[in-house]
Amino acid sequence: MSAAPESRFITVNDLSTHVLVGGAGPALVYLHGVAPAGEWLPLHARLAERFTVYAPDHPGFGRTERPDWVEGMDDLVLHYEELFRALELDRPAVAGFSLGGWIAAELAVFYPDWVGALVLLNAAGLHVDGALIPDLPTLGGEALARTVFHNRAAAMKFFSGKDTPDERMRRYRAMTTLALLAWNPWFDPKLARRLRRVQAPTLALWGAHDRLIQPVYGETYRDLIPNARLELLPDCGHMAPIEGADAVAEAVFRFLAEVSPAAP
Amino acid sequence: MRRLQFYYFHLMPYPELPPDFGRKAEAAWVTPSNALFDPEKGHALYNRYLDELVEAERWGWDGICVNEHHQNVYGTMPSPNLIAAMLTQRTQRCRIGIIGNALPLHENPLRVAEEIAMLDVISGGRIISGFVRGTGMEYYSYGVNPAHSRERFYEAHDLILKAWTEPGPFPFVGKHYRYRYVNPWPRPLQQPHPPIWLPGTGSLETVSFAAERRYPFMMVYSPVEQQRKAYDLYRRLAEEQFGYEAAPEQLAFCVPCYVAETDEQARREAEPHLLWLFRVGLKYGPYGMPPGYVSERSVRAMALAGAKPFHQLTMDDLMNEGYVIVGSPDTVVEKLAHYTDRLHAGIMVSGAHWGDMPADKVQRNMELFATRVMPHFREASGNA
Repeated sequence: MSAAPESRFITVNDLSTHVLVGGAGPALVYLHGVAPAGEWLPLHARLAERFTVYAPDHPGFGRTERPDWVEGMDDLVLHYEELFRALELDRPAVAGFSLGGWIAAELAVFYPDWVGALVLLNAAGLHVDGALIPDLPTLGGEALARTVFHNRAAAMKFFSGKDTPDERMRRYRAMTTLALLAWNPWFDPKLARRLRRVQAPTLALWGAHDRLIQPVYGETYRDLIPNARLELLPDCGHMAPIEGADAVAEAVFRFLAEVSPAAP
Repeated sequence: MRRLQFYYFHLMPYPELPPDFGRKAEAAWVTPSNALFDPEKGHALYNRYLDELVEAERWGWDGICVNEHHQNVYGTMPSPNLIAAMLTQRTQRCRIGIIGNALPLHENPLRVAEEIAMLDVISGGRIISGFVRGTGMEYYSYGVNPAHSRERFYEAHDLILKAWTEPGPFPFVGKHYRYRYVNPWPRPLQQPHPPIWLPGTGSLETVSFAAERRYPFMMVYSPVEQQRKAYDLYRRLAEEQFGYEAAPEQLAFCVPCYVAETDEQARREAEPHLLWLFRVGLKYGPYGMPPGYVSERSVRAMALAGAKPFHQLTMDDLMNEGYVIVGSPDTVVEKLAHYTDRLHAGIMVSGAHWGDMPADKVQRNMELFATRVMPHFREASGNA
């Protein structure tokens, strides 16, 4: 079992960026989704059993402030390229969930040499006709729980205690950053044809019951990225990092052992 | 001497809905299917509403007002400038207020500058040009980024003002709007430009923006206490920061009003329609507050204020808190005197048609208001 993570603030691009670092072994960068952000989850702890996990908070989420230059996904790609250099990461594995998966995919498109292996977990970034991603900010309470969770008990646990003024402000702030990045279009129309540039071996890892970003998006990522495969997580919805942490960790371990035999 | 200018505001709602609509629909905005819109009924409604606006001029209103809303049952004027164009041809004297065009929703705000200038020239300089941000709901309906709302509003405002007042062609390079050639033909008739009004709900940012530029600020749908606070803020900012004394003609209130012979009769007759306005028409569902539409500070303030959403207000709430003014002519005069005497407001933007009100009630309301209320706030009346 890994020790508690270290909380670091690293200044890149004039922005004090919060990063949780824990574990030992090859580097694995975990890019969070809209929620939860800034937390060391059981999933992080599992991944830290075999990797040095770097979990940065995106600008405008968790403990990283929102600078006025956040206007689009390209701003985040440049931000992460600088953060990777500041952290002296050498072709780390990059795993991104939901919004973080979109960032990871863009990073692998713009800087194919910087990403050693890519895990896209229920990743945003694309649009598939007939499988419109629900309008997240309009979802609250029960509708939100039903859309993003497959496991009812996990949903109840996740949302309990979250209806406080502070939590509502945190959500408004996160959703505002999301709006700046992805209100319209809520995907990158150019990403689909650019994905052929990805050089890293890629695992599209998808909750079989993801009702926010349906598994057909995983199929699309698999089809568009040259060296990619798709693995479905049974009994799992969109919030796989919460409701399927062990299954996610095991799948990541298998995949990374397979593509980089040197990994533990 | 109490004085008020009176503006007759029409929202042009579409109330011809199934009886269970108010209860069943998730919202009256964004998602109620337009399959519910019957164009035959719409034909009759639009034309009746236009007649009511025209009639307001005959009853002595100083101006008539229209506004912009999208994809909803509350107000069916996605293009208020179209309605205003018709009104220029059917009225002679009154001002025509477009309060307003929702600037950030427009991809090309130069079009607003052009259309208002056209209307001003055609009407002989009778146009008032309100600028608004549009409701939160409209950022869903139009796919415009709510987190850019204020930026786009200020930028479009600056562009339009410059387009009206400086000889073109000139370039305009903003963050959201860029032109190599700004040079709208025609220019407005009123000089330096048509009056600009700012309707709002009293946020520090909007009130300050209005006070700095001496634009009339209009409070929309709020408790009278909240209106007082906004006017106090405007007057204080004018005096302390911008160095002038705000005139009553800079403080407007948009408050639905209904008059009948007695208080009881007025309430009985108005209640279903005012409740339709707030509980059905203004049922905004999950679309009211898209992320970034207001600052985090405002979100916090709203949470602290704990105001009920419009669709949960009761008739007692509406009357007691002063969202609406309902009563006999004496009662209404007394309530309006509160605005002139205590709130230093000088412009009433109201009307006679509310929600699903039938035409006959509108007629009686209009007549009673014009003959028994208005004169108390006119020059010649010599009232206390």
